[in-house]
Amino acid sequence: MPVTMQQVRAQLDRDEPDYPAAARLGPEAFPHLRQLAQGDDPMLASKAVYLASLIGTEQSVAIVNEAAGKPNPIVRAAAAGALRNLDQAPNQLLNSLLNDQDVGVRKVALRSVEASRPSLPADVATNVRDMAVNDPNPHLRQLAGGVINRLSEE
Amino acid sequence: MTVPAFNGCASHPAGRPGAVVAQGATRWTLGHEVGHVLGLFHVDDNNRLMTGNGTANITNPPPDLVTSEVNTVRASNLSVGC
Repeated sequence: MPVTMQQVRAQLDRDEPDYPAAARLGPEAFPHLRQLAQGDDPMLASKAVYLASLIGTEQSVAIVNEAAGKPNPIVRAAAAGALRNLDQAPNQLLNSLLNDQDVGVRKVALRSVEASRPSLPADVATNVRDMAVNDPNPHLRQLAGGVINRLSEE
Repeated sequence: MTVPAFNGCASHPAGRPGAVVAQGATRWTLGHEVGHVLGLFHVDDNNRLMTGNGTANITNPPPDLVTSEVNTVRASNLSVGC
């Protein structure tokens, strides 16, 4: 049975969405999630991006990838948070968010990389190692150093 | 922002009551989250502050607290009389 925008909004309009329940809408929710992720409301867009990542198909990666290129850092931070649900996220997407101009996006991306991967691909490891030395934010330098120490390099 | 993406969240460590509200939340989210901290739960009524359907959908603002909710808030050990 097709999923309607009304069903998607009923889940995502909530202040605290029940994401496991919302994920049961399944891949048929993707057209609506993509529309919300590209819309003008950054909170709805953020929730749509996170839910797309939980549903877990190739379309999830596409929606997160599009969100990573949005001008609003709230939406890019949602993309960074969604990375933890995408173990097949391309390294280019990881590196893009780890190099984001917004410190909050970089922090969330770093935490997602650590939360979702047992080891770091070589080019991502290089990026995190560089953050540990050169990130302008001292907290992020410390965080990146910890990630390098805890995760092995592929 | 929070991960997952919420407008707000009132989960907090035991004995350290608190809540966060996202930058893009509605004007009612702060009150809604404080309501959770003070012991209130979601209701299925968009005319009330504690609606579980999203404070963006509140009808007839300002949203209401019913008498039982007011009593719960007043009875919370976090409430101070004034």
